[in-house]
Amino acid sequence: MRCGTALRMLAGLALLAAACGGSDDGGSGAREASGTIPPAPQVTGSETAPTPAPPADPQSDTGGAEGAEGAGGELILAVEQWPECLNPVTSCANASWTLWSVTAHVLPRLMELDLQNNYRASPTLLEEPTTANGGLRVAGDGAFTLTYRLSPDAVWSDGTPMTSNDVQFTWRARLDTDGTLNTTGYELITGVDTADPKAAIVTFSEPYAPWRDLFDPLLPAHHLGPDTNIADRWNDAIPISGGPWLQQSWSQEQHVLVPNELYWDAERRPLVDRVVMVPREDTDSEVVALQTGEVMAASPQPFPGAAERLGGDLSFVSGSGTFIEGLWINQLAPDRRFEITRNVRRALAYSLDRELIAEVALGSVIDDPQVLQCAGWNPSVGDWCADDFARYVQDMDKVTELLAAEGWTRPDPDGLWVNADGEQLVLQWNTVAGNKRREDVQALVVEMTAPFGIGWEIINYDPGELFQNRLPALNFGPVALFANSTSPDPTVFRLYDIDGIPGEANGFGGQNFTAYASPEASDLAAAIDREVDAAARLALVRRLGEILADDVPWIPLYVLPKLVVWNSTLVAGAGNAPSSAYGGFADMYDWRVIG
Amino acid sequence: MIGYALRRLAVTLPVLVVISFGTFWAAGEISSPTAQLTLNPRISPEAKQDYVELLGLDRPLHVQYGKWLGNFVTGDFGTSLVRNGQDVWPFVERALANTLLLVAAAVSLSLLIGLAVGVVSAIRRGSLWDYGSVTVSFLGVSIPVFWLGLMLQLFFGLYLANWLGVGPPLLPTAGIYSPGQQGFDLLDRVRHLVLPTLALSLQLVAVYSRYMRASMLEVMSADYIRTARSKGLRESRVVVRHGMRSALVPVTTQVAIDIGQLVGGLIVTERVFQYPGMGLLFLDALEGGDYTILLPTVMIAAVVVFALNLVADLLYGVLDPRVRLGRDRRVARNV
Repeated sequence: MRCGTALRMLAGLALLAAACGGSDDGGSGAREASGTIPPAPQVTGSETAPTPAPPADPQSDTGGAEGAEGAGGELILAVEQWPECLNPVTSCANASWTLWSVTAHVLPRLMELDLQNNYRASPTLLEEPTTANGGLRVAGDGAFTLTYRLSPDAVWSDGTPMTSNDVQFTWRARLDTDGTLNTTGYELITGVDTADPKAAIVTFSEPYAPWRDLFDPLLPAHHLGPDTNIADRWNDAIPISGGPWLQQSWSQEQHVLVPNELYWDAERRPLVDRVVMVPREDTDSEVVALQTGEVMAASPQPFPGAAERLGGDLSFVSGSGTFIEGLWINQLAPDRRFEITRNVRRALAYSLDRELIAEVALGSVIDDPQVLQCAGWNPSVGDWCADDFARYVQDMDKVTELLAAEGWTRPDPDGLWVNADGEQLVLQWNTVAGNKRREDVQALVVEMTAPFGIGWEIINYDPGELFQNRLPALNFGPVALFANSTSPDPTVFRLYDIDGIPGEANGFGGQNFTAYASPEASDLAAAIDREVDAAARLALVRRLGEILADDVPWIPLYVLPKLVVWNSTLVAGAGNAPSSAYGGFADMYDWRVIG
Repeated sequence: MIGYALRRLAVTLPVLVVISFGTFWAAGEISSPTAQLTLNPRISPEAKQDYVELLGLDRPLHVQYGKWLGNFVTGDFGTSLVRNGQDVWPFVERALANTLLLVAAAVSLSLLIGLAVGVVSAIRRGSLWDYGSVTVSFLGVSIPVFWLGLMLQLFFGLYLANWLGVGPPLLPTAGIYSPGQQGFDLLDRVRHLVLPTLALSLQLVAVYSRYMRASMLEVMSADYIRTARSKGLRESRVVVRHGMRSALVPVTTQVAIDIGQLVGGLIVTERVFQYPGMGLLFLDALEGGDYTILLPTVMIAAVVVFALNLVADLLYGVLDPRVRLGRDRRVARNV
């Protein structure tokens, strides 16, 4: 009986708490009754769209400190994948959301990508190193030297100036830390001259074209040093800042950022008093939290029905994400029934209606999804993209011509192609089991290619099996549908390197998953990594694109979009960075709490 | 009783070892901390291999397992593979505490309502109340938790506030504290417990009310109840003192089993409500390929299930004098 009494009291307490809670704004700041401000128009598109300005807020879209008058408040943002840890050098940094929710906001970098993903000097630098200003030199012996001139205003949040020692420390930390993941480029550095605290002279053993990708983030030598093995540091807190925001606290439940009072770039001084990020890993719950106003903005992964569900007070924009999805063709697939020749690959490309595939895959997420015509890189990064694959539209005559030229016949005009050995043109196709988008694409393509005489054997695997076991061993396909992040910045060399075809010679450590063995493409990919002249490098990239479109080692389909969603009755200034490499919150220093 | 408990333990331990090895093997097969590195263009094959060696993933499976098991049984949960070497125990400890709180709240609420509904249904058998409770019970068992959770979130978080014309949601829809909350706040904590507790309780109420109803019907037709009535005892006293007490026996054992299963099985509820308990920790570890966290969560859940099953069996003997565990060699059965 006493127990029952206690339970009744507990239940009563819960109900009382619930009832009392109605007046508690939960620390969410300025939440007003919805509907007082007309909802902003829904904005969608495959590229960055301007932020709609709520009528009640005349200062909308003004960036920088000038717009700070009347600003303040607290932004509450939802994070879809909570970082496991924060160390920016080890495996923690492999998670996109570690960058998007933490390091991009608190740690400085030397070069950076703007909101349209073009490289430029960050506020940490006075200028971008170029040949013209003497910052970029290639010596006669092949040595490559970069001189980073640091901004005299650049300081850490504890007041310590950023110096060339930080550049040197970052280089060593990348190489010396146990479990460091990204040593690419750093291993080519032979030394960093720190004689001038505000000029770091970095010498490479050979030209390294993707140098702009280095020193992101820059690490504070005075704070982390002198030990350059920082494996055990910053697991659950980054107590110092060189970015617009300073981390006040971080836990598995929330992440609190406040403005870095010593941040020197007036254009990026935060307008709000505080940002609180909370995990919302279930997309449906994330949308509910946006609708209720418990969180003000989010950057959810694309989900079916997004266009319909994100209405009312919610506005959203979509942009190109960092992953491109396509059909990767493994020319050495163990289960291939015939040689996967160039003609077979091209015939496959000519049998696909890629417009329809993109529509089925992404039509419920964004309006007018675009087919990826690039030869293998993300069109939102740099200006590498050309319409190399635009020639591949459904064409029965082309399919017939290509296959007939190699002895394929079609005894039954409605049946499958058959080669001289009597093998039917049936390809095994793998993707991630349970991924609805990809399985929808499979179902569509099976139906789509049947009239073209091409059949499929669908075998799907869980991600671990496909990416951990089968991909590195070339034990997939011949066809696999998955997303990859490819761009000349930082490199595409490993994808097309002949020596990188996984095999005994390299201990199955290569990343040329298509077993594409074109010496010309391999050499071009290597040259792209070494050519530091921008125009010359672009020409090489374009040439590689032409070769890839001719050889079809893979068939690009579409860019996976990213979304930025915000409650337009609560937040202004959001939605300008849907394609940013630093995530949809990249420009949150310009966001304001309204209402 | 002690002999019976020891015999059960002797059977349980090998099962736990098999479960742990199976989990260890399966976790490595379906989820690996290096799987996500494969497609990252910034990571060279050499760096990936160094990482594999650093984590000890290149060693034979039985060596990895033996090392892990040895540490686990001595209370050393090790360090996390993908959380950059952080100790595992603090993550598990926090998640376990959160889950136990949620389970305690849900089971308490469910017992309070479920038992009352079951008793009333039994003593008013065939009434409108009885039919109504049966219908609601079937609904409670049939409604998937993920759907119910979303509906509760929408109702309390959005619709109710809109209907009442108030600004903020009446109840928080996710998490355990309001964003920005620093330090412990009992009221805030309780408010965040309400919706997951409700979602979890609906099914439990349905189950317990059905158990209690069936048990009460059986007990109330027993001879000793007739005797009690013939002695002139008040009906309320007959029901509460004589009927409920005996009818609670099967429910008690069911509750013990449920608690064990709930501790490790709240994956959907915790995911929907972003409740940082064992289920969410398990899911995060699975998706992140972190079997150093995956294994303790599975093992703790397994140990709790076995332990509470044992407790249920022992309770059965304690609560029902007709059962004499160990002494008359009868084997207790879960009802």
